[in-house]
Amino acid sequence: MTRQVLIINITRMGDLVQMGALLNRLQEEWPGASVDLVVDRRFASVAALMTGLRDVIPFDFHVLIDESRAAVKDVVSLYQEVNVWVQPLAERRYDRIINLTFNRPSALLAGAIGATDIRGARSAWDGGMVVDNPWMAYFCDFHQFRRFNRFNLVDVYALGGSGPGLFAPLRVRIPAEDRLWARQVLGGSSRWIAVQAGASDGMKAWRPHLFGLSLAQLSKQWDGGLAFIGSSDEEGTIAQVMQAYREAGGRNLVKNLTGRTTLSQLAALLAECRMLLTNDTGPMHIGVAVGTSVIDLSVGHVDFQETGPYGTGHWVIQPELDCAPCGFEQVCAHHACKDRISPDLVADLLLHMLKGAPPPSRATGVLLYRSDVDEDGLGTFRLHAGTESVRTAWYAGFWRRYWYETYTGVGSRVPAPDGPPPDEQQARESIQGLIPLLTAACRKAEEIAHLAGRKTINISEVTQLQQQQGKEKERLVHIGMGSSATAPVTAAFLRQLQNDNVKGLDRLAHHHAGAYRTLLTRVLDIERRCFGSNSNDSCPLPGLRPPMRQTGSTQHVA
Amino acid sequence: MEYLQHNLERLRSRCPALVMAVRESAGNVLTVTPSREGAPSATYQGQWVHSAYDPRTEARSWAEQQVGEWKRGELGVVLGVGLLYHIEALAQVNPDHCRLAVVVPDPSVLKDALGARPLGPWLNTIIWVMGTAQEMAEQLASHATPLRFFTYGPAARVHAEEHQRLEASLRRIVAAQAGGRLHVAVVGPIYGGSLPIARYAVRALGELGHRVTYIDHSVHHASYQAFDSYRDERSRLTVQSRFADVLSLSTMATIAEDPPDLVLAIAQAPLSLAVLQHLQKKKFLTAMWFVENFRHLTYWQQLAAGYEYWFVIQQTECIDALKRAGATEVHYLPMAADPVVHRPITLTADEQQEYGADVSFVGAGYANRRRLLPQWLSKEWSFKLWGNEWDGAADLSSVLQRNGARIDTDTCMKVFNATAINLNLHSSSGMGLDAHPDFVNPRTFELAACGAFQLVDERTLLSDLFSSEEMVCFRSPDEVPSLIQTWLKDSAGRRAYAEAAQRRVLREHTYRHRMQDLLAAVGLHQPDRIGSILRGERSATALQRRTDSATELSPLLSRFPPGQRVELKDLAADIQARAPGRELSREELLVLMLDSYRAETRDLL
Repeated sequence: MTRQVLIINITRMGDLVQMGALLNRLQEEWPGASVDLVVDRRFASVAALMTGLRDVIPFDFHVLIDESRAAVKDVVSLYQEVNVWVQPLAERRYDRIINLTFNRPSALLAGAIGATDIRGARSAWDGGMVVDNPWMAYFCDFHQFRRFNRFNLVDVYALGGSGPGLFAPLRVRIPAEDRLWARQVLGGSSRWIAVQAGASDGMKAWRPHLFGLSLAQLSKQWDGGLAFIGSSDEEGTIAQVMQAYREAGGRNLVKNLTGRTTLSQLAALLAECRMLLTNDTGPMHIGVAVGTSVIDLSVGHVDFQETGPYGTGHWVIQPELDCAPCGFEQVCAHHACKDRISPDLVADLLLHMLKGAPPPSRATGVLLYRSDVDEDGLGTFRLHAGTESVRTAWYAGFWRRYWYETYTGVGSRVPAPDGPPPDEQQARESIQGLIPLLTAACRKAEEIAHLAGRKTINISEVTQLQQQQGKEKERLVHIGMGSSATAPVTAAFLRQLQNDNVKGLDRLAHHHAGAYRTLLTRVLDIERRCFGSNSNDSCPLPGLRPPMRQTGSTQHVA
Repeated sequence: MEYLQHNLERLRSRCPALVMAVRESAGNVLTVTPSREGAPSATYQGQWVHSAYDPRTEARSWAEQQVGEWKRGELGVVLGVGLLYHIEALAQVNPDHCRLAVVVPDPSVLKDALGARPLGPWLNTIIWVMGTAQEMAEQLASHATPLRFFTYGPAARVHAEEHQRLEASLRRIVAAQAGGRLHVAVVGPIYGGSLPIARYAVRALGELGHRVTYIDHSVHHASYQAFDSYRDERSRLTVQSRFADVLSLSTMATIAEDPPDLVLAIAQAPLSLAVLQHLQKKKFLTAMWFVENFRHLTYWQQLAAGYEYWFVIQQTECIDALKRAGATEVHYLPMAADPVVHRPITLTADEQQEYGADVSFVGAGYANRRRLLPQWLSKEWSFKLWGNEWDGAADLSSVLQRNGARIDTDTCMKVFNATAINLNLHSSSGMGLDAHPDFVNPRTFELAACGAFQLVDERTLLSDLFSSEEMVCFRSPDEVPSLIQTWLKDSAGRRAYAEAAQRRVLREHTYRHRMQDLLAAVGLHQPDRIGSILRGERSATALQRRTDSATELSPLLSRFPPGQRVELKDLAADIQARAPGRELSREELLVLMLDSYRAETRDLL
């Protein structure tokens, strides 16, 4: 029987391209599966470039927002307009819905369409929001420890939406007529680079005049053409780039294609270019997907570890600043990160990629990364120049392996970080402070579950225990969140508590007890990983010590 | 003649009265001239009513542009007869076979059209609306369906005045029928003469039963005034302008928190063009009541295209100027009075002594007033002058009260009530009477509402608002002293006029009437939106009647009182309130999903 999968991916152009690995993985898991996609109408043309989709269901969510908010249409009309495309989806009875749009409306949509297996944000039975699937939950919570994240969204989508598998590069189709068009536009020459100087959000756009200066510097040693791409809204930005370019002596041939290409033409154009110099934008992912090497200028709130160019052969320049990358809700007055990237460095990197010159070996104020595929077949970035914080690097490596093994059940081939954590004492204190609290919390949770499972429930007794449990939870969360060694698993614990999509007091109590047990198991596991053994060899609770499995020269938790 | 007979014969069985009227009419309003393509076209007073090249193609193109807005169940109403090409085209592209009506202010034009070319069976599908403006309005209203207007400009201009009268009649009918409750956000100015107007509008809308959010920028007046301290005028203007931009954004933030059905700005409300354009893009309806003299305050030029609806206190010249500047919908809406504020009051003896006089004038010291008022002083009567900005008016210093201090509304009402003859002289930039005496100032209505007698300079728009038995006017400054003499001797006469004017104001010229009219005008032009809300079509009962293709919604709607307006947020709130501990159905999840989108605000600011 052919499996049917629905992907809900509404918010960004880049997200659509980044689900390429997921589409491959689904075919590995369920050969011949029919995969449909709900997408915002603005991005339907991107979806048309993807392979592996059966139906693309576009809907104009922005018009829905405008019309519902200003009461342009009454509630019956609004409902009917949405139901006309939701109802048929519900009738298809999907085997799986993968919601890659992590917000409440998409969660409710997934719930309204319904499937036995929903991954990502979904509505709980009472209309609340839960996030099913550990990888999708990870995606919701990792922003709290962003510096430690080493998973590209491409892999999170693939692992969460399907499961582990072989590395597959991103790919999009290019219609033949668009290839022809692109070759004609570029005069049949391959000596072009594309430049994406604008961005949908000004926060993540490098300074236009610095683009101009770096391109002028490049032009002193390379005589190829520059093709500016972007939307028509970015014309002003391009004008600034070109002005700076000319004033700095840039004389190479320039083509301004901003706002003058369809998406498929853009893809074709990027495929014909030697490389793409870009901000973190949708066209960057398209460039990657057509096999064009990319230099990603990672400024503002973007974190290349999450959304950087996927696969091998790309470069990332990341400003080295305490506040970089900043939070998504940040309103920044200075944009100082943008001034850390020097035009000379960018020009040197361009020359390396175009003419085989040695790559820059030193970088002041920035970190330089080269993209790669790691030992587990996931996208990664290897530091080429600059110095990472020892603590960040250690914990990033630690959590990369930890979550991969925990959520896939497969031992990681990525080398473990050397030695104990750099903040060893603090880590030990946190872990050793948590274990007894967690042990007691587990007992209490079990007791509550036992009481809730009785035929006659003593509500006041249960309530009292829950109140005590609440206070204890606050304390252990405070400790857990205070250390890099335990904060991520504490966040996962809170998420697991929130994901209580069960009915009935007894089931709820069992769910919570399970969350406490999981946290304790994980903290014990972390202790072993960090320090080689548990501080107290006799396991605090029976059945809690997980069996060890040998993989290579390192022991892993099964 | 042949075509005329043939076409009339087509119509005879369905529309005998129309056929008779056409036969009896003179015709020859339009000059029928062959087009380049061969089909007949026409001119009116030398201007083409249809294309000189290809009237059919032009008409089809026009019809295709119109049809997008036409919803099922709406009666399409065409203004402009011409040679009927556009009506024929509209009938052909008619979606869902909606009914189509044509307004025929003068059967002569229809005679020209019917005589120009042979017309097909579509002619019999048209509802022909004929008669006086009131009769036509009643015919259209009697269909009891939303009306969707289509104006074919070149043909409509032949009967522009009749169409205006039709619209005014329709607005009155719609206003009288309106029962639904709107949410209106009223945006007031920071300070100035239109500030009290904003407050009167807010009260009136509330009294009509609508929910009003008053975005009161007068709280920022002190800050705005503080910038007056800059010696450099350029600095002052720059800072005040930026301040107004910030207030504009704050208006947007208020709207984002509680989106209204209509944003109504009163003159000088700080709403920048950029914010207005953003509101339009986000599908909010915006209206401006421009209670100013368009010749003196010209900022409307920059904002003309920013508001969807303009309401003005002047007529043709002003309306045309706004349309040339980019406004699409401009309507006449004169000033008014608020009977809660402007009312007869009983004064104590002391108050009568303090505020009373034979003749009074309340107002600011504009140039023409400084020149004219001294001519109206006399030993024969007592005169009191109230108001500010009279510095240097030496001729009036003997009658100026309270050293020219600004007086508040309460004091103003006492003066009106205590005075035998209130002089009402419209301000002017010149030295005499206003050279363009069109609009009627708020003072005229306020005095009348107080039951106070006034002498007012004649205005061209006054006679539509008050009759000669309700208002005494003067055409030249020289008339005033003798009018004062005459009316001072006739207290009964003064009382009769004042009471008649008061009755007229209460009957037709309160802010309630104006707001009703304003909403009716917007409702007529937005029949599926404001119009449908005013008609009560978004009540629980009315919505339930429409759930045939979504029957699962009916039980959710039945939880609301039958006459209550129910919007998406109300349905969602009800579901949320009942959600704890209950498994939600698919339709409930879908409603909550829609509401989650509705609650989005990040794109607004």
